[in-house]
Amino acid sequence: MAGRLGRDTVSDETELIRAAQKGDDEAFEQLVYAYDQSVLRIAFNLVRSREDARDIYQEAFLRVHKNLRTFRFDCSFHTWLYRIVTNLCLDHMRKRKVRKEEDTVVETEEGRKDRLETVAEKEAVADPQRRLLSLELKERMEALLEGLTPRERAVFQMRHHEGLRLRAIGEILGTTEEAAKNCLFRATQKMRAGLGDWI
Amino acid sequence: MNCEKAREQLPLYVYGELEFTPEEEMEQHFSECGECREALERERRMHAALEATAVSAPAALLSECRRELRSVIRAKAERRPWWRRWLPGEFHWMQPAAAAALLAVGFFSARLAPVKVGAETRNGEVTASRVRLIEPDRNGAVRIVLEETRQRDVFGRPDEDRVRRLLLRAAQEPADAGLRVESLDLLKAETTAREVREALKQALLEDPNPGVRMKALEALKPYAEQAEVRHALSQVLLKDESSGLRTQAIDLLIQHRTGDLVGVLQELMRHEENDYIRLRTQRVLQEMKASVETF
Repeated sequence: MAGRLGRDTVSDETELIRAAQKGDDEAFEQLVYAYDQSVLRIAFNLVRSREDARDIYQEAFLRVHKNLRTFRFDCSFHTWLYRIVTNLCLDHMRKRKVRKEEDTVVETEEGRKDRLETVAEKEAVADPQRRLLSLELKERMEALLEGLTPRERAVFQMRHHEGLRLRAIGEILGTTEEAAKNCLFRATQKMRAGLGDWI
Repeated sequence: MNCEKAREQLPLYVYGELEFTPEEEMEQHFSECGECREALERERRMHAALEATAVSAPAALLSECRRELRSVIRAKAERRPWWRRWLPGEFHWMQPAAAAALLAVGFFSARLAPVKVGAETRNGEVTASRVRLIEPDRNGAVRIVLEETRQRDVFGRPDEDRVRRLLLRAAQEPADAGLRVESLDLLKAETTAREVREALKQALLEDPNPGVRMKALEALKPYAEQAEVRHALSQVLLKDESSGLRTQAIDLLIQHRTGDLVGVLQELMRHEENDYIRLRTQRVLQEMKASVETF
């Protein structure tokens, strides 16, 4: 077996970073391969587009490559990397939100309505179990996620799907654990209110 | 603890973000309050439903991203002047002086030292050579033994025996991880051959480069039901240092929930440090009605 879990992992990573800082391309590649799946998963879940996730992946690692020499181990490497990725995703989502502001309003027989409301009106399936798994519910949750602010969405994604602790999320977003906690509160509150009696 | 406080803390409780004491107080409150218990169940149902919103990036996308990144970085490196490529990062400030010094050294050594290692072109074919032995004779002549490495092009399809054999050799080339990745990528389509599957398993368990191990794991995905492959995946899950690989391994293993999986997952819970993998393991153990820890 090539690698082992345990206390050596951190020092191995430190050695890899130091080697990559000195221009060792193989060490840099190993760093990329250790984290790039998570990076792509975060980007893909936040921006929900193959092309945009690919751009974010590349931009994030190019920034790491360019700035690695200035990395001074003030925080862990993965915190630094995730900070770069989430900042890129947040910028992207903010830009898209401005572009999409218009698109969320759709024309219906009863006039102009927000997309969120139209999803809410879809007829529910009688069986609660089937209802839970139904496509409409998934669609509704997708719409609710779209309705979160970029920062709420990032906190929710990192906590719910990546399993990161709120303290780490706060550090990644350059804020406090308390602020990350408040973001998560707001996100879950919106989701709960939006899901109403569906669950 | 009252109901208002309990409802407020509910999301943090479900995410396991409460300290020991408030968590105890919440549990005490749930044991006494039916309404809050119901709210807790509702919160958990919401969590389960939210799982459906996670999307995984297509596997092919990761390979595309890696390929693109590698070529962009390579192109950038090639655009750098040669003396910058040679000098370690920490000495970049002294690059101009170092470049001048290296030029001077090169100039004088070319004038003073005999050439021992080199490359020459013979019949249009590039040959790298190295002097292995020098034997002067009595007549003043000298016998020189050269060790030569010649390049030869071999063309063919990966399903041809001779090409496959060369790819299998390249998959074990210790000095070049990039070559190992490329060859495993080509061998991916040849997994019906037992020797290819064996090479993939060996790379998955023993290659020092996580990228190569990831490539081997991707290639073995269609065989995730086979006992030998499951055993290798279990080893990755328990021992590989790359959380990316462990995530892939657990995702594959839990697709087929055999009895031996429980023991592996319980063992994993004892030392796994990655939150995502821990959470996933915990869920599967619960779904399989197995205890989360071994006692």
